[in-house]
Amino acid sequence: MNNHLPPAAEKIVADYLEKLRGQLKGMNEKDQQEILAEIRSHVYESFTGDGEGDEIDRALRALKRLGEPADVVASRVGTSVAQLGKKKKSLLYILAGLLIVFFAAPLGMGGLGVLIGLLAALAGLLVAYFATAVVFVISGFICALVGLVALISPDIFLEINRWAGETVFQFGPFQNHPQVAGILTLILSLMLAALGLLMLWSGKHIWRGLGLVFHLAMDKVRSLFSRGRKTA
Amino acid sequence: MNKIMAEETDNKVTQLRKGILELAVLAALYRGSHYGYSLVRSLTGSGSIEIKEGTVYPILARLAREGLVRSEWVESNQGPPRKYYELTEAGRAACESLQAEFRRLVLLVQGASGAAAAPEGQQTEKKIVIRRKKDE
Repeated sequence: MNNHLPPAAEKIVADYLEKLRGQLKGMNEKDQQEILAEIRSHVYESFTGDGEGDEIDRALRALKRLGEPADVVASRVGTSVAQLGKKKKSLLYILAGLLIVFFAAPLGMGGLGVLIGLLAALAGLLVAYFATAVVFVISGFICALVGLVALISPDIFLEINRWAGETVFQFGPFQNHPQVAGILTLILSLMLAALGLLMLWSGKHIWRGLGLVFHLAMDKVRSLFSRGRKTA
Repeated sequence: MNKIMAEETDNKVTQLRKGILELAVLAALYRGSHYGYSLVRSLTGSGSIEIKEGTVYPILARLAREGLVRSEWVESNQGPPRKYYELTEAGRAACESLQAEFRRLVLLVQGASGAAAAPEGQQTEKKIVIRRKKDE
């Protein structure tokens, strides 16, 4: 970065700006750079406008007049957090935020690896979840159909068994009461189907949550890469 | 007990200044464009009020978000570039109506003791009416 301050003053100011940058975490890189550049410009003007004492005193006074880094960025960070708060209503969204904060923020590239692993695991879980839900729904309805048939005309199964020459259908403990078996099958399989539908319905929220995790992660990755470029 | 009350008063003063400072920033920019440091100088120039200089930046950022100010980086012949701010059309309109409201509030606070200021109060009320008509 282009610095116009004498070295001793520059060191103090750079230290302050680093603290300020810490306060801007979560903001996109471009906005961060712009704020830092603006504050640097302010400190320079303030520094050159104050002719008393050595440069270290002048730099310290300029920063004192400016105020704490937290004051300088007060409402900006506030609003970015508030904006996040608006979106994050469900527990899952908060969880997503925590994942990013704990795994991606302090660990840098290492954290990125952890994050990608976590995302992959989450995606895998999600696929398994939906597959289970679909299987539940389909098998639930098929079993319900079987139950219904057993209820209406249990003879069909005996016919099928006779036709196949072996026992394809068996009524288990209700060998002699196919109707009871039919009712039980119907109830249980409808419950299974309902469970599957419930899973699919709630999956909508999980899907959205994962979308957000992904979105935040990509944001983080982008900012990591742009920071990498700058320091390189 | 007294200490607590003093703290509460401090708190109220801070709150009051927060709102007014935003108007002061708008008013300073109404008179001409500024970069952050020159804006602080123009606000504190009269010596009547002391502020932490950094507090103008969150205000400027908020005003920019609301579309009341726009900014532009301008190279400086000495030192780093400066970010100049100026009011947008919406900013000018907001500043005018806030100033009118502010005058009314000052009259409200001064109350009966400010009886001499009453005619001015009527004037500002007229101004507001005129402005609203224009808006329609």
